[in-house]
Amino acid sequence: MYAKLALGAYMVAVIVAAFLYAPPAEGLGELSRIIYFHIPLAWVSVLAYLVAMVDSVRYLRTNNLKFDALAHASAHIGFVFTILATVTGAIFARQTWGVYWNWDPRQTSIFLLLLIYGAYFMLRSSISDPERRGRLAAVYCMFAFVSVPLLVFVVPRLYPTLHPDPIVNAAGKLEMNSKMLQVFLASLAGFSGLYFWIYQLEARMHRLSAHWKGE
Amino acid sequence: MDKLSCVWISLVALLRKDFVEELRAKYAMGSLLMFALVTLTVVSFAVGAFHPDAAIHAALLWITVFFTGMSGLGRGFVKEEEARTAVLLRLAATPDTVFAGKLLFNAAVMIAVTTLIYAMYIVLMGISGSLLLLYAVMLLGTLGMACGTTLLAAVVAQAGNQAMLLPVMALPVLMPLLMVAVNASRIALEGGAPGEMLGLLAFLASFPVVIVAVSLLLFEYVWHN
Repeated sequence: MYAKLALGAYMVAVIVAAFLYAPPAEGLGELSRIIYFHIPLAWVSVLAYLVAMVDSVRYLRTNNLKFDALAHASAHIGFVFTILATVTGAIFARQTWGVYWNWDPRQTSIFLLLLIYGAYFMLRSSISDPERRGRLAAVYCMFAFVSVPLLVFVVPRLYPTLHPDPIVNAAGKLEMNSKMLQVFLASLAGFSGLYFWIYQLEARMHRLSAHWKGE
Repeated sequence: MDKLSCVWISLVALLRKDFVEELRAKYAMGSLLMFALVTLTVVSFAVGAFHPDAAIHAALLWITVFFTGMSGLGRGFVKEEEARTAVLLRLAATPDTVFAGKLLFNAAVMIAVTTLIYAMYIVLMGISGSLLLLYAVMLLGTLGMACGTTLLAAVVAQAGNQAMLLPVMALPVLMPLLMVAVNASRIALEGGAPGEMLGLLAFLASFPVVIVAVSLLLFEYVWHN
């Protein structure tokens, strides 16, 4: 209860700071404020997937359907964050490069994550037996992730013409001054907190419904 | 009899079974080759009198290969579920052997289909460039496709075998492979030498190794139910 209120107040503070406290970056101007929202969203997209993978491993080890429900919940949250990260990224790309979409390596990798989430839900919806659904979805969750490191770290190195940006994109992490960095890290923590708050809500909902069904 | 020769015997028996079934039903040779032919015809009609450049040719070629592969690679496990022989297979062989058998069969099918697509594409579209190099790239790429799809085919076979499921699930896994294969094919069609794409070839050769290693770790969970 208090944690929820604190998180809400914290996020409000982060949003206000992102617009008022942090200075605009050189060259990009006010556009640079997107990094306080877009990058944390992308970070949570990956974080949620990693949590879903860990839950999948735990499900395969224990055969406890609770972990399958948690993996599903995490994938759900991650899917929403991935859509938001893709859309905010496209808006930023439109303002800086002139087009919404141009298959930049970063765009390709977030799109790949979107495809994996989509396939994961499609697989789940086509199986009715809970144990089988959990087992196959867990396997797919781990299997599909193999291509993410390949695409993020290997493929960009094979294309010398495409600029091989590391984890943070052209928004100018290098020229980030201390005020910007403070807000950026605070926002990263805030969005992660938001994710874990929704995640534990889902866990509680699952526990209650399992209890109600008398399991 | 030691364990290794036991594995070999069951692997050979599995492969033999699949090839005999294939000779009887002629599924891969019939429907898969027809699918490839139909797709190539559509591509050829659509391109018509235009002369696309190497990049377009590489893209069209890999679209054909991808969808042909997706239409046929799921078959190996689905037919075991349909004929209700999967249970017997679980009793008769270890999961690793079953996986290896299905993988080798899929690879053989893909090599045959790719060879046909390659030959037909040259005849229909009149492409030029380093054609032998293109063939090598296609073989490596389709080998990667067969390796990346075998585990998913087992998943799909247990998930009620919806036709759309395999391509949707396979694309995220195969996307790095396809990107590299299209790029390498473009270089080959532009007449490039193997030296110009050593990195790409190394990627194409190592992708099957990575994906098979992960598949072997996970296949047991798919197979035992």
